[in-house]
Amino acid sequence: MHELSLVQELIALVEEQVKAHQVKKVHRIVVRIGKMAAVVPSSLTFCFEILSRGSQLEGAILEIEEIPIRCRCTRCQEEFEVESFIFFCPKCQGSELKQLSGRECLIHHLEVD
Amino acid sequence: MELKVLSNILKANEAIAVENRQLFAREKILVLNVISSPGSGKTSILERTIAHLLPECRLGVIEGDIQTSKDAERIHALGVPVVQINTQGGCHLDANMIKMALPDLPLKELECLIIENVGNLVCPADYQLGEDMKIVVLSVTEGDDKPSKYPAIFHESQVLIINKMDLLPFTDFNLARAKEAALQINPHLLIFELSCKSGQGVDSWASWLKSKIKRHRLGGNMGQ
Repeated sequence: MHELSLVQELIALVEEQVKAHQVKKVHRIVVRIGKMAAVVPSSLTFCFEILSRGSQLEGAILEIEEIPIRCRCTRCQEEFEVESFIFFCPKCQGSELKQLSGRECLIHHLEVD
Repeated sequence: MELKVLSNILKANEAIAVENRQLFAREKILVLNVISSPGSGKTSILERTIAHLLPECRLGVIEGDIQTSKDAERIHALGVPVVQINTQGGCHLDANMIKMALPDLPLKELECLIIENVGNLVCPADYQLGEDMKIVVLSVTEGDDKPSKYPAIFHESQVLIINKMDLLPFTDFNLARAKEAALQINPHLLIFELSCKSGQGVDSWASWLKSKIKRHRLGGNMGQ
């Protein structure tokens, strides 16, 4: 629901990079969105198409990599992917978990000329 | 050519959230971010909680709504400092809105600031405000599948309040199933069952909060 404001932030961050590195053309913007982030990828690309129109970023491809939720059990050190949002260690049933990924909402890299 | 960026899209919000958090820590104010779907009874819970905590605790409230100041008027009637934020269509409060509202609150006098977020279980989960904890509210009229449908907010919260318990006999809400689902998503979630209508459970919730506020004031540990 807040994808529009996210895309505004994203465009501002990419434009900063364009300026800082004297980029002529941005071909691709690769973002990583964790499965726990409240972001709908298709809304993100839709908003990007609308907001980039007429800007230097028009025509660039917004590629979204969805990042799975991974945790490490602090008891038995097992690393595992969380499925169906069940936050228990599948090996020892421990609940003291360290989340390793799945909350990302970041611009990973750009493909530019 | 590939240009590595590794930049958090929400970093502007998070930077301001850190500033807010530092300010709250300096003033030793315990800050709650209360989140639920529309109509689950957040404002009624606030009214009940405030009535229970006054005059012992010094409270302030920020009310987030898309439009109107109806909720703020209800809180104001209890004699508690309150600031209304209208998001004008925005689906969540962000850290900057909180920062802008703070000069209108007597921070030096407060022990606890309760922020009532816009009614929405999705977006507020992504926007840190600088709070110490998130409180998620679920009412029995909404269905017991809410935790599994909106897992992120149940995972992020420290407390779950199940509200409108007086209506439980009239619904198909399965209390055990709702709790089990919530605890699978967040095994550390503390659950309170409440009815703002009958007052059921208000004592234990408000007493828990009161001791939390007092311990926070003393700079004690934040454990449960």
